Amino acid sequence: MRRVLIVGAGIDAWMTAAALATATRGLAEVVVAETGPPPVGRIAALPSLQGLHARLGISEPTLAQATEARPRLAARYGDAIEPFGETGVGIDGVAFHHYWLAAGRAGPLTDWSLAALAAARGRFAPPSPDPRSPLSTLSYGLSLDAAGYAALLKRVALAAGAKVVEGRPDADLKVDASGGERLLVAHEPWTDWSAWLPTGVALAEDGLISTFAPAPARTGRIIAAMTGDTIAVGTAYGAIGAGDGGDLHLLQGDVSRLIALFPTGPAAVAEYNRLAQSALERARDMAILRWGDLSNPPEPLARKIEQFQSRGRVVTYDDEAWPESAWIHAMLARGIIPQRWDPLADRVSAERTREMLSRMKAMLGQTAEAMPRA
Amino acid sequence: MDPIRKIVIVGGGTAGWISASGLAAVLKGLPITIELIESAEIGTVGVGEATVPHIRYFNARLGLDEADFMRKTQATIKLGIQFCDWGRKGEAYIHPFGAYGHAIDGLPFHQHWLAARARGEAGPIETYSLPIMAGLAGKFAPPSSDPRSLGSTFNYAYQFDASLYAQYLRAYSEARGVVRTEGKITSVQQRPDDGFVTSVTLEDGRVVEGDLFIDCSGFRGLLIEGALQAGYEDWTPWLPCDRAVAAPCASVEAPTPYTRATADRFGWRWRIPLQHRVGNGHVYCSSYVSDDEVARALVENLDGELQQDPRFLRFVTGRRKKQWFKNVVAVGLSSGFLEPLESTSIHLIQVAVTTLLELFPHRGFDPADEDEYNRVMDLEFERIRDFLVLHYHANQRDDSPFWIERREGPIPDSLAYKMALFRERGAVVGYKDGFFLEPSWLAVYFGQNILPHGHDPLVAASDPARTTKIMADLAAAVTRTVDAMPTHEAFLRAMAEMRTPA
Repeated sequence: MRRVLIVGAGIDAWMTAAALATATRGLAEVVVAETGPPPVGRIAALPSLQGLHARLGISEPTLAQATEARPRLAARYGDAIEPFGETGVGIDGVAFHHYWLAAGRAGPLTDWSLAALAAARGRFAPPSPDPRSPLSTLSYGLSLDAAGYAALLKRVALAAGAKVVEGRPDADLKVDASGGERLLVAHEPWTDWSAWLPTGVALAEDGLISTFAPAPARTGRIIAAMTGDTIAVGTAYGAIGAGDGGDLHLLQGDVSRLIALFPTGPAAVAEYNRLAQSALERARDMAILRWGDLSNPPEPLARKIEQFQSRGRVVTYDDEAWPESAWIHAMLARGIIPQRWDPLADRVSAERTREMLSRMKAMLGQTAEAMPRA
Repeated sequence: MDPIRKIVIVGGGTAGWISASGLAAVLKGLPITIELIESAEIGTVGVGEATVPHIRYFNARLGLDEADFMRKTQATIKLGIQFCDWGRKGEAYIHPFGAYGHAIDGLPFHQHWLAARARGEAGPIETYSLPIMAGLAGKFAPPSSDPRSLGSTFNYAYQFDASLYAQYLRAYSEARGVVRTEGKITSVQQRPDDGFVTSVTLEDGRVVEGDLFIDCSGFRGLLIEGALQAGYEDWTPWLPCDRAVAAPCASVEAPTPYTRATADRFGWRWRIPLQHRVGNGHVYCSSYVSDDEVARALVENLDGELQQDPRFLRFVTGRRKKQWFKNVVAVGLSSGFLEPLESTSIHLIQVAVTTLLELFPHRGFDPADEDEYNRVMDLEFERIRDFLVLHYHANQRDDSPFWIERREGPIPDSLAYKMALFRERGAVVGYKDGFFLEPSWLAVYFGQNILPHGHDPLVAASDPARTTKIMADLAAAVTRTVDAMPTHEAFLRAMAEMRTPA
C-alpha cells in the first residue's frame, strides 16, 4: 500500500480521499487529481451518512456551519410521502402494517409515522435514545449545500494528509471518482438500465418533506467496479440517478468497502466486486420501485413485489441499503397493496385492533404537536 | 381469506413435538386445532442431543422456565464444541459460542492477532475467548446483560436428552390443547385435481382430516415424498458420510460444558455429556468401513459402561427439493439431513417452525408462501452445508484415504470463494440470513490450520506496542473472569435446587 490516486471532483472525490486518508493514517499516500469545478445546489442525504461523519470526526455544528445542513423527515415522490424512521409499533412479532391492513386501512399508513406527522406540522426534534419514548421511532436525513459539503470533505482530507496533485502521477491504486464522466473507466463495458430507469430524481424542493422530481440520468453500470489497478466508486461505477440520498449512500458504501477490502490480491478484488454489484443492484431495485418502470422488473425486485402484494411480506437480501419500513411505504406509494395480511394479526380482535390504531395515532399526533417548530 | 382451521402433525419425536409446541404457543387465540399422530411402534431417531444457542430464544418464546426445563431434560450447559484430530491427529480446538476479543482501531481483533502472531507477541487465539477458556476450565456463569462487560461476549446452548425434551414439549403442547392420537398411518388421501393432502387413514380405519399437514415422519417423508414426491437433492458428493451408530454410556466424571467431536479414520465420533449419562455416536462413510468395525471403535472409546446396545441409522445427506409443497411442510429429517457435526438438527427444526409461523398460510395456499418459505430454508440448509464441508475439507491428515479424499475432493463454489478470501487476507465473508457468523468461521479456519498468507494492511497503522498491551490485558481479564466463575457442576446443582414458580 503506497500511493492511491483519486481522479475526480466534488463530493465523490473528496469523500473518498477523506475516508481513505483517515483510515490509512499515513500508511498510504493519498493524492487527488482534481478535475472539475465544485458541485452546485443542495443535495439530499440519508440518515446513514451520520455514521461516516462520526468516523471522519465531523461534528454536527461543523457540518451545519459548512453546509447549512437542514434535517429532513420525509421524502415526496410524486404524490406519495415516504417518511424516515419507524411506522407504528409491531405487536407479538407481527409487523404493524399487518394490523393496519387488518383494520381496513383506516387512513394512510403515514398517519402512524411520527416523522410524517411532525413534518406535516413543520416540527422537528432529534430522536430519543430511550426506547420507551415515541421520539425513539424518529430518524432523519439531511439536505446539504453541495459545494459546502465538498469543501468540508476536502478540508478533512487535507488535514488527514491527502494532497492535491497536478496531472496524473503513477499510483499503485487508481480510483475513478469522476461521476458520470468516468475518466478512467470510460472504455469499460456497460450494462444499460435505462429500460427500468429512464430517468433519475433530483431534489426539487427543500424542507422537512423534501420533494424529488425527475431528472435526466444515464442509468447502468460498468461490468466490474475494480479491474487491474483501477477502481470506480460512486456514479463512476454505477448510476441509478438517486438524487434522494441513494447515490450518496452508495458512494459511502463503496468507500467503506474499499477500506475494508483494500486490494491485497485477486480474492479481495473479487469479493469487492461481488459486494459492490449486489449493493448497487439492491439500491437500483428501490430506485425502480420509486420512480422507474415496473412493467418488467428485474427478478429480485419482482420477487419483492410479489411477496408484498401477496401477503405484505418484505423480502430483504444481504447488502440492502433500505430498512423494511422504506420498502413498505415505497410499495404502497406505487399502488402495490397486499391482498392479505399475516393471519397472526387476527389473534387480536378487529375491534381491539381498531382501538389500538386510533390510540396510537392520537398519541403520535400529540407527540408531533409537542415537538418544537423547525 | 379462508383461515386454516386444522393442522395435522404426522409423527411425534423431537420434530413433531417441537412443531406442536411452537404452533400451539404462537397460534393461541386463533380458532385452530392441532392434532399430532404418532405410533409407539415406530421408534424415533432422537440422537440430536447437543444444541446451539437459538434454542434459548425458542424456549423463551414458549415461556419455558429454564431451571425446570434443565431438570426435566437432564440438561447440561454447552459453550461450544471441541474438535479433536480434525486438522492433524493430536490437535484440538473449540468452536465457541462467542467472539474472540473486540475490534481495535476499527479492525477485527483477529487481524491484529495475526500481525501480533507474526511478531511473536500473541498467545493462542483461544486465550482471548471467554467461552473457550471457561469451557476448558469446566466453569460456567450465565452471560452478563451489560454490553460493556467481558461477561457479555458469549452465548450458550444445552446438551440434553432429546427424547426427554420431546416428552417435555408433549406435556406443554397437550396442556395447550394439542390432541395426540396414537396410531399408525396406512394411507394418505389427496385431492384428485391438484394433489393436496386431505386426510390420512390410520390402521384401525380412523380418518384424520386437515388443512395443513406438518410432515415429521422422519427420513421416509411419508407425505412430502411418499404422497407428493417433492424430490431430494443429494449432497453426498460433498458430505459422503451415510451412516451413524449411537450408544449412551455411564458418566465417569463431571460433565464438560462442551460437546466433543473427534475425527476418526472414516468419519467422526461425538461425545455429549448430560447430567445422568454421556451420549456417544459415530458418523461414518459405509464405503470405507464396516458397521462392525465402527461399532467396535465406538464402544472402545466410551468413557464409562455401555448402557444400551449400539443403534444404527442410515441417511443420505441432502435436502428435500421443496420442503413446503402444496399443503405439506416437512420439518425435521423429512426435510433433509445434515450430519450433527455442528449440532444443527434441532436448530433447523426450530427455524422451520419459526419460518412457517412467519409465513402462515390460509386455506387457499397462495404459492407465494411456499416459494418464500423454500427460499429461506434453502439458504439456511446451504449455508450450514458449506460450513460442514469446511470441516472435512480443511484437514492435513494422511492416515486414511477418507481424509485425503475429503481434502482433495470438490467443494461448493459458495465455500471456495470464502476460503480464498480468508487465505488471502484473513477476511471472513459475512451474510445476513443463515447461521454461523464470523467467530464460527474463524474457529474452524484457525483450528484446522487454514492460516492466511496476509492480513488486513490497515493493521500496520496501529501502534504494535499498544495492540500487544491491549491483547495481553484482554487475556488477563479472561483468566480473571474464568477464575471467578463457579464450576459447571456447581451451576447445574444450583439450577436443580432452584424452585420453579408454579
